[in-house]
Amino acid sequence: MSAPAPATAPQQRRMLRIRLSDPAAAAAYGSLLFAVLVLIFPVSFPRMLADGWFTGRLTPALIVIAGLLNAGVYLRVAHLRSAKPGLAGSAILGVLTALTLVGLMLLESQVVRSQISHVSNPQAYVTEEILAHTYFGLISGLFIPYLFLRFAQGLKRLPL
Amino acid sequence: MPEWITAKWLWWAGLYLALGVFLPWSMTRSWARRHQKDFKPAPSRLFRRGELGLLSLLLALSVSWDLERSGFSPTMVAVGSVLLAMSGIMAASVWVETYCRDATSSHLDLRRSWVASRNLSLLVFSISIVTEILLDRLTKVVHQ
Repeated sequence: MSAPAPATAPQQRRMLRIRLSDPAAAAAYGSLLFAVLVLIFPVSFPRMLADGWFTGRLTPALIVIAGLLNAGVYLRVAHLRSAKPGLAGSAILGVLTALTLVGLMLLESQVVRSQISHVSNPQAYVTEEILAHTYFGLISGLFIPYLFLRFAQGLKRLPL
Repeated sequence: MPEWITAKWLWWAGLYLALGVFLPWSMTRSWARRHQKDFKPAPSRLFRRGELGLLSLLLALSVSWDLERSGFSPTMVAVGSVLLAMSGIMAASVWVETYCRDATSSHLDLRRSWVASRNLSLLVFSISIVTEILLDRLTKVVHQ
């Protein structure tokens, strides 16, 4: 009687460990795309952002864009490294993206209100403020959640 | 081409690339020619220990200083400076980690160091370019 074949254990996929260079490249390309849009549409692009900000549609739109980009980067890195994306990590990434953008936009609303009465050319100045704040908000939303996730993974060895 | 696009930020970006990346690279090639060595290092070999990260931190500091002196609101200056500083520090940390691993004979993957420093430096460089463009625009608005 022949010996039974050894049972092959199901191959466990290791948890995904994030490196900061992964989201950095995506954020850099997003940043360069923003620069191209500002250079090609120097009037209409900032005005569109300012209109979106005043109608309250800019923050949700930024959360959706940053969230989709972050999810795309996370899944792509998991696929490239043949690693399993953690549920907790994905949830933390999503929550931090939304929190970063909402926090920065709330900060911006305070700034615009306080600055609008202090400058000689309020409309143009506020448009520039909103343009700059949208840019820094978007890049923060793409980079800061990964920064926190990286530190959490590194310090606590959490299964994120 | 729109009127507000001055050559200032373009010159600035060009100078950074020329003096920070292409000059050291061309110096290695000229050294090889002078010493008649068959040695043609690519930037990925020249900066493989994360040196670009150190350069990025210096760039982030200089742009932060420009932002500090601008007419943007203090909150905006703080947000921009923190973002620049964080990305610059992360880029420089690649160089530090590579040095520490090398000095202690720990596991060192130079390919990984190069990719990390390149990506983080690209991020710092792109943030710096957009910040300079935004500062340029703001200067025009303030002087109107």
